[in-house]
Amino acid sequence: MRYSLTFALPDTPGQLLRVLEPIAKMGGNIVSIIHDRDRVGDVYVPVSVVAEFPDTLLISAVLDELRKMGAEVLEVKEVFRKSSLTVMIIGDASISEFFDYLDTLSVSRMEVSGSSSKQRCVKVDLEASEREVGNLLKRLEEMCDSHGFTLLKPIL
Amino acid sequence: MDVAIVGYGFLGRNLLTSVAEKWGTIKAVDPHFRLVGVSNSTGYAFSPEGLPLQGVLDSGGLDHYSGFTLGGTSLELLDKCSPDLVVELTPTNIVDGEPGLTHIQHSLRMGSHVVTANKGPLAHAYWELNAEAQKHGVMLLYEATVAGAVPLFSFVRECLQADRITRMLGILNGTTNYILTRMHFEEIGFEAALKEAKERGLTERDPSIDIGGHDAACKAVILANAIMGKRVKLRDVKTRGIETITAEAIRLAKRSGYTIKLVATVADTVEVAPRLVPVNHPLCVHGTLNSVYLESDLAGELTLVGHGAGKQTVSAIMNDIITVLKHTSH
Ligand SMILES: NC(=O)c1ccc[n+]([C@@H]2O[C@H](COP(=O)([O-])OP(=O)(O)OC[C@H]3O[C@@H](n4cnc5c(N)ncnc54)[C@H](OP(=O)(O)O)[C@@H]3O)[C@@H](O)[C@H]2O)c1
Repeated sequence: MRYSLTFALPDTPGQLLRVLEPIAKMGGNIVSIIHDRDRVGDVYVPVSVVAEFPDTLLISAVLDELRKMGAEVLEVKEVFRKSSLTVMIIGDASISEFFDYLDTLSVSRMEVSGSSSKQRCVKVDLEASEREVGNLLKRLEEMCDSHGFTLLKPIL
Repeated sequence: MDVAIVGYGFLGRNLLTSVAEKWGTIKAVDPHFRLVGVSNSTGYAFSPEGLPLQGVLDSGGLDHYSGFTLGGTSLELLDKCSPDLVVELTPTNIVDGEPGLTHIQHSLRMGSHVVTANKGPLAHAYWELNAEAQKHGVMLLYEATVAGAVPLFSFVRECLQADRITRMLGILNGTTNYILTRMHFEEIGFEAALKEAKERGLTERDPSIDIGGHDAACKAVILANAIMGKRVKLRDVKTRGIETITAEAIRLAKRSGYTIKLVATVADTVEVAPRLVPVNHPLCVHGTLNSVYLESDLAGELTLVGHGAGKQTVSAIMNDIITVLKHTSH
C-alpha cells in the first residue's frame, strides 16, 4: 500500500528526520519527499512524504505514533498506482459499437484495424490502478463473452 | 528388468531405435534389462527371454515380425509377461483416456512401474493413477506428456525441491504455434496457415483438438495437478482456441511489439486462450517449439524451451525409463 502524508513541519533543523523515523520503524519504504521551501519566512513548511507499506494496518500505527510526538499531519491519502494494460478484441461489430461497449472503461487509446472480413479487430490501451486491473479484465471478459467476441489479454 | 511397450506407432518405433542405439548406457544401469513384449492395436510380440531389438525393428512393422500373435490384446500380453516396467504409447484419447487408462491401471495394479507419453489417462485420472502407483509401491512417470522433449517434470522434481511454483504459462501445442508463427511472419490468414500445417503432417486426424485448445487444456490439467498440487479436471479449464484469430489481429498486435500465442495459464485458475505475448518475452518461441515459463518463490522466473513433439520426445521417455531403472537398482 502506498500512502502520501503531508506534514506541517516547524522550519528548524532535524524536523523532517523526526517524522520519518516512525514511518521507517513500521517498515515503510520512503518513495519520495516533497519539500515546499518556496514559502520562505513561514514558521511551518509543508512536506509531503510518499511511503510504501507492506500492510494497511501499519499506517494507522504510524499515525498514532506521529500524533503522540505532536507532529502535525495535514493530510493522509492512499496513492493508487496506475498501470496501463493493452488488450485486443476480435469480433463482428462496427467501430461505433466497439466505442459504445468500451465507453464505461478507462480507455486511454484505441486502434482499429482495417477489416477484410466481417471480423473487426481493436487494440485498446486501458489505464487502471493496480488493484482495479483484475476487476477491469473481468468486466471486459464478460462484455466479450456476451457479444461472442474474442478477448486477447496480455500475459502480464 | 523386464520391459513391455504397449503401442508401437511413431514413438514406439523411435523408442525401440533409441533403446538399440543406447543399449550400452541402459545395460550399464541395469545389466538385466530385457524387452519382453511389444503390442499394437492388432496383436503383440512376446518372448520371456527378451525380444531381439534389431529383429523387431527390421521386420518392417510389428505385424510382420515372425513371433507376432495376431488378435492378442495388450492386457493379455501384460498378464503373460508381468513386466517390471510398462511403457504406454497408445494414441491419446481426450474423451475418456482409453485404451491407455486401462493399460496403465492394469499395469500399476499388477505392480509394474509405468512410463507414458499418453496425456489422456493423466488428464482424466491424475490423482487416481498416482494413488494406485503409491499403493503398489511403483513409479508412474510421464515426462513426455507435456511439452514433448522438454524435461519439465524432472526439472521441477530434481532442481526446485524447495521452491513453490506460483504461476505457470506454457506454449504447449506445436501445431497452433506453427500456425500462429506463419501468420505472424508471413502475414497469411488462419485458413492458409492451417492448410500448410496439414500439408506438413503437423495436425491430428481431428485438427479441432489442437486448434480448439483441447490438447493444450489436457496438458494444462497435468501441469496444474502434478506441479502445483491442484485437483483440477479437464472440465475446470476455460478453453478457447485460435480459430477466430485473423491476419489483421496479428498485424495489429505486431505493430505494438506483441504477437498472439495460444497460452496455457496455470495459476489460481487454469485457462487456455490466445493471448498477447510481447515478442521479447522468453515465453515467445516460434514454429513448432514449445515453452514453459515458471514463476517460483525462490528461483523467480525460469523458462524451458524445446521440441514439443517429434522423435526428440524419445529423450523424455528414455530418461523416465532410466530413472525407473536407477530407482530400482538401489
Ligand atoms: N508423436 C509425438 O511426437 C508425441 C509427442 C508427445 C506425446 N505423444 C503421445 O504419445 C502417444 C503415442 O504417440 P505416437 O505418435 O507414437 O502415436 P501413433 O503413431 O498413433 O501410435 C499409436 C500406437 O498405439 C497402437 N494402439 C492403438 N490402440 C492400441 C491398443 N488398444 N493396444 C495396443 N496398442 C494400441 C497403435 O496400433 P496400430 O499400429 O496397430 O495402429 C499404434 O501402434 C500418444 O498418446 C501421443 O499423444 C506423441
